Amino acid sequence: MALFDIKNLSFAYPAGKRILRDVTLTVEQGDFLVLCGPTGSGKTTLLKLLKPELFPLGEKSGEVLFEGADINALPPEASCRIGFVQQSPEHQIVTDKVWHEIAFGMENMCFDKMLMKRRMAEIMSYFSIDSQFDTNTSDLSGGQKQMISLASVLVMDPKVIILDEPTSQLDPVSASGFLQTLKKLNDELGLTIIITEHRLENVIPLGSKLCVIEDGSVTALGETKQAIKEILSNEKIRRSMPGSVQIFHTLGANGECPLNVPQGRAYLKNNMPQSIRELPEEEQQGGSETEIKIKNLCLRYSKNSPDVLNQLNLTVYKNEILCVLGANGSGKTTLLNAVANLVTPYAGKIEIKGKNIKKYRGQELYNNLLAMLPQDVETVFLRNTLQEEFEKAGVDPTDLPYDLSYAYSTHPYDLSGGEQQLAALAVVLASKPEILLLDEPTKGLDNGAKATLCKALRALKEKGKTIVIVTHDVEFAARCADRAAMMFRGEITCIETPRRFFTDNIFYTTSVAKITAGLIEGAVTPEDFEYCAGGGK
Amino acid sequence: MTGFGSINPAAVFAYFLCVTVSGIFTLNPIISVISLAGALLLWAVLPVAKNKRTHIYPVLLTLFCAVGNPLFSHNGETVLLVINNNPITLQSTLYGLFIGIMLSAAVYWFSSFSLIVSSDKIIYTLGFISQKAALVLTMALRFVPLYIRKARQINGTQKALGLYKDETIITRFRGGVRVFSVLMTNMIEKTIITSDSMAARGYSGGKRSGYPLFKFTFKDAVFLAVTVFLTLLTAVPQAKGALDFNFYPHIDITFYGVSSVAAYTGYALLCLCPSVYEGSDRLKWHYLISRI
Amino acid sequence: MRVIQNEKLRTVLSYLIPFVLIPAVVIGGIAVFRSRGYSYLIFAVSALTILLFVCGFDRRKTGTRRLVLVAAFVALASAGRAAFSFIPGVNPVTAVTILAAVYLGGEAGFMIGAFSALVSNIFAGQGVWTPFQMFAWGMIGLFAGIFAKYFEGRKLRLCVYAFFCGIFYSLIMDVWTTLWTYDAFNLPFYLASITSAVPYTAVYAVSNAAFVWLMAKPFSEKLGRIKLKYGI
Repeated sequence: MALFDIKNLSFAYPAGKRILRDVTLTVEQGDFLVLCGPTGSGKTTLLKLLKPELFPLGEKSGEVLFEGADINALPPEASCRIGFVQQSPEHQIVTDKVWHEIAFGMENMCFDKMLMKRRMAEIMSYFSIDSQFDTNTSDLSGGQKQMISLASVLVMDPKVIILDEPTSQLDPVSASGFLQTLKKLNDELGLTIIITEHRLENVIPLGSKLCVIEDGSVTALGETKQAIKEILSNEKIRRSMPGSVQIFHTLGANGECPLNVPQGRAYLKNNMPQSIRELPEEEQQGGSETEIKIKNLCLRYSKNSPDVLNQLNLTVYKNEILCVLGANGSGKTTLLNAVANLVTPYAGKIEIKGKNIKKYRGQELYNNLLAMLPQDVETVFLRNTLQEEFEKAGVDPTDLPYDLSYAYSTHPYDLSGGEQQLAALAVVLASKPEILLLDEPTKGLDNGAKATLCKALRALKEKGKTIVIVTHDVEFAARCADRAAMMFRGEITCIETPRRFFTDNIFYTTSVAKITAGLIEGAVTPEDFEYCAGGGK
Repeated sequence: MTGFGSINPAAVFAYFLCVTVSGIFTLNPIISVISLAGALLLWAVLPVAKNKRTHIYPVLLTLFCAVGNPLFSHNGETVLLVINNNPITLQSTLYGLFIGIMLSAAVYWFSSFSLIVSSDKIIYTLGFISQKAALVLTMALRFVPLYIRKARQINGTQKALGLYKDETIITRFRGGVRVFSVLMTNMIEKTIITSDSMAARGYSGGKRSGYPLFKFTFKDAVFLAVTVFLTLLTAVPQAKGALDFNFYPHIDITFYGVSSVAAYTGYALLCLCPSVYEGSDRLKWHYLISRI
Repeated sequence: MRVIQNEKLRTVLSYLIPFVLIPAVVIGGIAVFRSRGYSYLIFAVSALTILLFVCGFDRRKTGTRRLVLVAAFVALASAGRAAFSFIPGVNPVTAVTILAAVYLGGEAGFMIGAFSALVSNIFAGQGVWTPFQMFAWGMIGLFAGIFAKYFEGRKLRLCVYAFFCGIFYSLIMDVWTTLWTYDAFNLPFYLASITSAVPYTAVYAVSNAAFVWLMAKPFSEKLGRIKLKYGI
């Protein structure tokens, strides 16, 4: 008996938009199913239709069987058996202490006291989070929060865990740690996992099955390597696949599809294209005029805390896109806040257009000169529709390198992550800044949205803007940047053109660069690789 | 953890309720002084970091009451001096002084209370009355730091958008309200995620239980029994008037023999309970640790 | 944790408590503390009212989303109280309580007001005043909820109510201080405390009205939106 048997499931929201069409899917006990597809394809809706407590309002047809029984008829106790973890680390935490968060589900189900203590001990030891027992949940990092959410679901002993983009708000290191934990649960306990993700690089190699959803319909389904072969012709989906899959496609897609870096390297060695083996370093793209000059900047948040920025030196040229990369806590966001004059360094100086930042009086800095887009772009929005928002901010839509007019009547919070990013960008552009500072703009975006954002930023650069981006996203930086900088312990450790940067980096680089290292010099993006394989076309 | 802080929070709550209520609602200066002494002793022996500034408020309060009361109340037969045709009496001054002492004692009891009763303990005790209210409390405590952090982010965003013009109190207020408004929008939207997360883990708005974070052991039962016994020992004679005390027109204390003795000793022992417990536990600990 | 496992016994107790236990505690207490009967009375009444509301809240089934909103508004008011501490006498607790009560009803209003006092005092300092503050803010919320139909969409009325709540709050707190100090109503002392608190009260009342004026519209829009979108 299959765990989930989904037969001809269709669903439409009350507004009338049909979001799922005739979905038929079987999930067996012990499967690790990866669901993927572009934003708005109905992935989240499908997941919610597998969890009775979260059924969305709307019109449903077809049926869902859980262990052979109709899911609508499950008794309330059954909510233990289907676990659900959402995307947002911040908002799915309910209580103020770690122990209470983990106990929350057991309290709801009125578990026996001894059983509660036993399960608590087990789960805390399994995740080795016993030292966090008394910790305030608000003191945890995003990755730790997601881990607690997972533990709090797992403690109820579910048969299956459904995860809706659980790592999209996490940095790459925490994200891969989280996914490895899922894999461990799947391997050691035989726990069934159903997961959707945007960032497929890490999750695809872990999954046993892949299901691709587009426009509410299943377009590919099966064992991972087989399913991937089915969608290779679909460029939109293929572009979101791991680098090894793209290389596999470029090389003709013969044989078994490689899913990770070692498999990709092996495949590439056996199928080396007889063409370009080396890409030249790009020419310096930005101008040579200095826009921002930072000298020996030191900053700490309180007297006795360590330096967050430590003797930092950086020059940003006019009309360039600079990406600053680095791990959590390396001081990236602080650097951005210092340039935006939101925090004050205790030593060193920042010059913008040759003038010390302290000499800018009142609003001078923010009028027609500098604008910052925060990590959480929702904090930009004040109004009820995008139109109101644009009117209030004085956005000139004709001035934008992209079009959002189709979404004017939408509430800003109802936009997708990518649209929100573009809308917030439009709002900050209304003050006609010459310098744009962006903090993690690709967080939670799917591949398509990242490409759109990249295009928009390139277009803004063409219009003469200087753009500084702080990001974890190496793939995005490789595509978008004119120069890439690495930040570590509050200082800039190197700064180069992206091709040089990602070729010379060994660990902190794109997956294509890892696969091609030593084989094809300078190929860091799938496009670079296609260019080489295609003999320079 | 050892000492008073290790006693079951429900018993600790009952203790503080008994000791403050029977101390606050009597005018008897002897009781007030005993209460203040007990409170100060406990405050001093608690093995946690304390803020020296805690002392400022009770001292000021006592002074204020002692000086202020005779200005408003002119009862009492012993006139000390006359200001603007109003007599300042000895009885009225003493009344103010002892009111001040009584309130200071309450301040110290509450200060000790805050030092040992963490939010976990409040939630646990509230759970005896209502698990749902306890849930609201823990959720609110989870949201407060989240909202404070969010408010800071919003403030930064709005500042970098050039929305702050100058730094007057009115613009700061308006700026504050704007941040507050954005925060509210964000929060209302995100509560949906939180409620989904709760529903997904079986919360249905109905009956729920609590994780047994604290044990109720024999020593807790003894502590609770002693507390109740000593409170009754004070309250029963008190109801019969054994603690009656008059300030006006002249200071007048009635002594009722055994029942008064019972009431005073009962209350004194009640006040000493936690300090004695703390002290004996520490002795025991020293003895145990010497064997390691 | 349920102390009493028997469902029937609990139901009996739930009626016994308000109708028998509360008067008993009040009358018995006055007998014990006769020298300070009034102080005791106001303390007992406010503490027991809160208890009663909490028990009532526990008995009724509250939808998950409403419950989260109650907790969120408590947190919002408490965070706001901390955030606005840079202007003395200004805090958004009354405004948030009123606005939330109009949309969520009297009982939720009481809970939001009372718990905002409790939670913000965890940061600002608990004291003898906590039950009384809980009572005062709870009542402000309760009445806003009861008369919700006169307030909904009427910004001016809400502002007037918020303004008077500011004054009411100060007046009541001073009645309490007076009774507390004298165990009788001492008019000169009461007038003196009111007069000394005039600037504070004025700022408080005006800022309450200003908060409500500035927040009423966004508040109703936002709550209306999720009511529509998610059906609360």
